[in-house]
Amino acid sequence: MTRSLSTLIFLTGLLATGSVSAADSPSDLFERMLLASTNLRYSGLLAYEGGDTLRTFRVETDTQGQQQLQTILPLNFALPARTRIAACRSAQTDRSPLASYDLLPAGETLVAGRVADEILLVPRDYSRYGYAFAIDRETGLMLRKIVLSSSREALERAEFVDISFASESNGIAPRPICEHSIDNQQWSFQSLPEGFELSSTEANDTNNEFRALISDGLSSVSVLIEPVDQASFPAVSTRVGATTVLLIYLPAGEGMYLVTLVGEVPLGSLELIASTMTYAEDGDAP
Amino acid sequence: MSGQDRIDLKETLSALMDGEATDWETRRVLDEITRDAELRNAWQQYQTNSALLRKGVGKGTDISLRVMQALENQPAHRQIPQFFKPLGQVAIAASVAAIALVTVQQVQMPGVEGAGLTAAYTAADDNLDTNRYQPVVVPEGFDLPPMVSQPVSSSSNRPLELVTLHFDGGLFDKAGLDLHLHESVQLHLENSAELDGNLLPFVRDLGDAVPLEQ
Repeated sequence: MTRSLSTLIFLTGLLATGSVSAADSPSDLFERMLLASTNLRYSGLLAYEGGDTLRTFRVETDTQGQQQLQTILPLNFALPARTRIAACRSAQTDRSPLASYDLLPAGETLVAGRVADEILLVPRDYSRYGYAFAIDRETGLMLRKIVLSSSREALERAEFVDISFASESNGIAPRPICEHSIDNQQWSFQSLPEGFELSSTEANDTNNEFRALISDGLSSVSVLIEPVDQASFPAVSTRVGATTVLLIYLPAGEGMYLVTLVGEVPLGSLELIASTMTYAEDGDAP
Repeated sequence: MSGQDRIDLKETLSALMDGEATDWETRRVLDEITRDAELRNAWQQYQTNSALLRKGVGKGTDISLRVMQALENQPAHRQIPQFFKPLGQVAIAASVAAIALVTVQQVQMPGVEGAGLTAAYTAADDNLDTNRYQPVVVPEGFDLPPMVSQPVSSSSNRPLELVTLHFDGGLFDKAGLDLHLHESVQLHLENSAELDGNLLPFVRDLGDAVPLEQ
């Protein structure tokens, strides 16, 4: 009763001061953030902290028609700049993560000298991590992203420390949605953690390798399978920052396969995915 | 539940009565007691016996009720998925071990030098620490805690866990394992970048990065 009353008083206070409205609800902020990442031109300095590592980058984006050029240059590590041409956007950005997370407002903050609204995505189960986003109030761009464990421990953090936007950023049309195929494959998943779906699969008939991408709209898992003559490494699980890796061997058909799962999810989710994989013989594909 | 498991849990119940159960044992037995009528009866019996010994018949019932009430108010108890429960001091969970052709004991080797990419990883310890299974509590009235400003560096880093260098009776290709992990993470980052629609996944890239000062 006390809890309900305090909640009512809190919400009433927010409504009275106009801090919460339909226009800036957490879900609206989140949707705006997803779109902004694909159609803005900006350049800035980005800091990343994960595991025991702090890295800094210069990040720049540009557009050519509906294509977005994204360049990231490490500043404190000797790695070459990486440029990516994004011609389309994933259909995942059209999927609402509301089924797997509770979106909560977390107030106003300042990131890279800009006013930002913070939202929390609290996972509804332990199959995924939580997220805290700081979203630029003016443009909707994500200025800070923190991945949180179930014990609310920050696993990794990426944050702009300086950013500037091109004046003509607004009005760029969102990129079209990428088309991915999910073919009928020899490998399949009997069940996935709640909220996760198979986003794409890719099979190489020449070397019999198979890849799959699984996502809940925010967190993703890659499943990489390749045939091996014999086990060359031990089975291993490891994690850095929010990225977890599970390497196992599976006997299937006449051979043995090295299965590597990589994702920004707890180890338990990788184990669950691995434990539900099935293999169909030729002509017996599901 | 096997007979041996039930015996073990009853022993834990007894330890709980004596105040000697660890946090993990307490959590596990509290978890099981809601599902297992026999354990509940055992718990009641222990309480009754204890009360009789103290010549205080009936006090045990109150303790039991308080435990059950505590369970009712413990969201994590109802929400923890079975697959995500701690499985002891083994890095590879039983579900994976059952399907893995090769299982290798993982040992802590903090002194190993030149571990390359593997050394850059910290242990996947999600299934080791019971404290990690606390629920993400939504604060009352949306009064959210300041966790969004918690720096990563303030989090506790677990000791590095490496697989044993001896594999199936011999040394395995450590460099090959590093390379495989690196390539797998790279592939995942490429996929994630498209999924995210931006370059942020690439900041996770461990690559073959070497600090400039070296």
